[in-house]
Amino acid sequence: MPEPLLSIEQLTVTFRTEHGPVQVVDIEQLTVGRNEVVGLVGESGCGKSSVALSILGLHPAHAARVGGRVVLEGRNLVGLSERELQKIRGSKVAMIFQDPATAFNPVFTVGEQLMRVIRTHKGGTQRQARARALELLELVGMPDPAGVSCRYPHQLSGGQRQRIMIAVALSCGPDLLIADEPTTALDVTIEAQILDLLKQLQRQFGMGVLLITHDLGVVARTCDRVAVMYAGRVVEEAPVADLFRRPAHPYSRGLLGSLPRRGQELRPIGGTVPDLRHLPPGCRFAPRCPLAVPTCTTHDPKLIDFGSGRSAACPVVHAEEVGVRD
Amino acid sequence: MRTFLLRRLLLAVVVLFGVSVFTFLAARVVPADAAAKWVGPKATAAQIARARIYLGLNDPLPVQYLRYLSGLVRGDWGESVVTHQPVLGDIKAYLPPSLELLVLSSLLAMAVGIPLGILSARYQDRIPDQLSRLVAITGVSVPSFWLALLLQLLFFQKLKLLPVGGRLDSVFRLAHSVPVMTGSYVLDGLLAGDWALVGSALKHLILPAVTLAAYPIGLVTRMVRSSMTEVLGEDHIRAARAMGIPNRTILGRYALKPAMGPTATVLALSMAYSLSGTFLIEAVFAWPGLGRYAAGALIAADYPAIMGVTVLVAIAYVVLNLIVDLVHAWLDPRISLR
Amino acid sequence: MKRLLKNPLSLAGLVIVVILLLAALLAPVLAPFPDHALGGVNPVARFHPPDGTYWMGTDDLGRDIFSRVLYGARISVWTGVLAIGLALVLGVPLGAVAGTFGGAVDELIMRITDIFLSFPPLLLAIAIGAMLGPSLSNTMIAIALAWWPWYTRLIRGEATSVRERPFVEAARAAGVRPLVIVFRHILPNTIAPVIVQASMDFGSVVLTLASLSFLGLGAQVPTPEWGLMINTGRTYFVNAPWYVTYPGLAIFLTVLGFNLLGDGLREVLDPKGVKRSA
Repeated sequence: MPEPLLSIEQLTVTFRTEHGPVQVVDIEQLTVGRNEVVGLVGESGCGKSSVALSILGLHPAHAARVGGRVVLEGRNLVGLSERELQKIRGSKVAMIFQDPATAFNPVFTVGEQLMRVIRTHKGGTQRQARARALELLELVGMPDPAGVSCRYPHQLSGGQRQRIMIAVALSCGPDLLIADEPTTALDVTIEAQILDLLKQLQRQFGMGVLLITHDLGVVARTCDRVAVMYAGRVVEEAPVADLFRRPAHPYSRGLLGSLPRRGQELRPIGGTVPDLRHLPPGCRFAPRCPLAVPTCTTHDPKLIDFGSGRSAACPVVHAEEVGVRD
Repeated sequence: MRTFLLRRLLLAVVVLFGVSVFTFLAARVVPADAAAKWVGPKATAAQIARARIYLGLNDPLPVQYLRYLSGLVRGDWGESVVTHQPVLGDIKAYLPPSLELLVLSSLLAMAVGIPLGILSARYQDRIPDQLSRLVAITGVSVPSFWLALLLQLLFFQKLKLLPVGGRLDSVFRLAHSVPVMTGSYVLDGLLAGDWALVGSALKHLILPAVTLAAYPIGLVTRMVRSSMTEVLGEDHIRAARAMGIPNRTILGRYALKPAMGPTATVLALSMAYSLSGTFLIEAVFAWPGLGRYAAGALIAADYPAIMGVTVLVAIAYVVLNLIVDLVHAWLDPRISLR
Repeated sequence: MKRLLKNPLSLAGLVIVVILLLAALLAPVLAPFPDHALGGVNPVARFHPPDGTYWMGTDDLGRDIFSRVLYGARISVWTGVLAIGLALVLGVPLGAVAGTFGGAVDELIMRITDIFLSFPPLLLAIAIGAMLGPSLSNTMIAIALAWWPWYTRLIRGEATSVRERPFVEAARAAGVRPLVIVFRHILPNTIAPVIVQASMDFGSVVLTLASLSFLGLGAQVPTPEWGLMINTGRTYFVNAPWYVTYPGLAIFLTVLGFNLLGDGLREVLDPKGVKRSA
């Protein structure tokens, strides 16, 4: 197996709170290959955005502690100095955000902001940066790039802003793009356009993409592989088609079951997401799990590799059940 | 944008109208007997009666008010009961030295307050923040007239570093012809290339300007801190960090520019405060400005003079606020939408 | 409260305020020469520098400055409380009425506050003080008249949000008289932030009081008022620097104490920003 572009190993993120430390992320293993779109799915509050922030070292040092390794092209990013991280952010690893309305600085034009990112990483003159900026705006499908670049963020629509955010992210040809709920704040019609644009540009640039979302529909449309997160942990990893066909982990099954499908009854998962401050012993999903056996509440399950790119952190399910033969 | 400005202008007119009513009542109606005050303590009843007619005090109040208002507009701000000079003429004579003081202290306030505020926001709740908060709160807490005396005691009496009182050395003034152009000796000296004049004027300016700047330094520091803290918590700052924008640029541009709007407001506010602050310190520094004039008028109960200064400060305040609105609109393109 | 006291600056503020209140309360017990604060003179010890007997030295009439500063604390605390109280009595009902009824009443009251707010508070207090004539109680009234619009504004904002609440709607539907609604239902639910703001304003009020007295508008001789003491002592400050130093230090520390506490309070209650600056 070739070395992945990004490899997350034993990553933990612990927030300091008034009630003591709270661990919001605890991931054994998660990889993103070159030219691969990996979805990270979970309910809000499961820690998926924290994963994104910890890849770029964006957690404020006084508020959170990050442990483990985040290896990008053989280099561990955890513990790098702020100066070194700055060089990586925006150039090797770029990020787009959930709400493009708040992700742009309100008092500078989008052109100024785009050009500043270009000049920060690539240097060059104002004129060169401007030419590149217009090129990028055209690339993301903005009509009248010159006119748009002089606009302030509030003068543009949500879809336009997200397109420009993608232009900013792509401006320095990143190897890895992290997209944190990139379409959640947008209308459904715009969502499809943005996702298609992302997919098209991903192929064109050969980037690895980590797409963070709570929406399985987005995953189905865009991703190659998917990791399901629950209460700070990755509980299942699978190629997208496989996950939808035969989900392994009871939580993934629950997630799919709560998805509206024609001719099927909605079956929401019973119970509620556990409080990260008071996690249940053993498997974190056990209290809500229909398949739980007594050992689930005492033993903390590890990811079990089923082969064919599938794994799940559940001792109850077996390889045969998910259609993978040894 | 245009409606926004029109609204502000209209509000300013309403406010100035109200100010004129207030000062009219204060100068003409409330003082027990303005006519007796006018002619002095030894006047006869007949003299007082004549003064009442001269001052129009026998007319109905609305008539008196309209006369007062039209006077204000035409530049007739009444006569000082002490000097019997036109108040507006006095104000014109005393304003330039105060303006010189005001401008220098505002520059000082910005030069100290903005970096301190940024430092505070950058290291929120850590030691630099605590120190700069202490400086800021000290600035707004120290009585200026007391600080004026202490500084004189220290720099004049003990260290013999800086002069005390007046705008120029008295010897210098005798030996030197002082050009009269802008009314600011520093500016006049610079324009005329007269370095000796600039030097002497600056030396005399330092202590009063520092004294006057203490309060605005505190205000500006706290405002920069709080608005920067707010901006730094916004999503776009994290986004900028995710794009690899260096911290220096984020603090100095991405967070500072949105925070400058509130800071401009506070600066304008504090200039108006400082204008009334001169009342307290100009006498201490023997600074021949508006503040000393006003303090003198207070002691003499010279109502037309006091209300003249009051009107002036209110106008200055309203005009400064209008300027601030313009600055706001220029700094923050979203404003025009409101 | 715990968060407030964890900050060293707020804690320092609290300590200063407690000391001030104790000094004000216990002045008759603590002052070595109480009669010096109450009109007595002591011509044998004029301009006595600070020593074991006269901790802060004596003034031009030989009076013990320490005793006078202690009694001055009483005056500052008492007049400050009364001035703010008066401002609240004026401002709070007006704000509640404006916020509850809206419309023309609201517009009128708000424009009046606009006019008052277009003066710096110090200037307004000076102008009103000059109008009323010099005396400590007039200063108090002047400060109250300069401060009430702030409270009117604040309470109006609160009231406009409370008036939509179900219990107010219910009272209105039940035909309760409008003024009863204001005082029974609106005020009790809006007063808390105003009380907090008023306590944070105490520092500025004390400073304004001292400033007016310094200008000769406030307390008159022989009242041991701090600002007035500096005004008198100013003439002698070259030869008797202690005369102005200690009363000024008292003003400074008092205002500093309240402002430190107020700033900490603001930080705890509203960590995002300063609502108003003065």
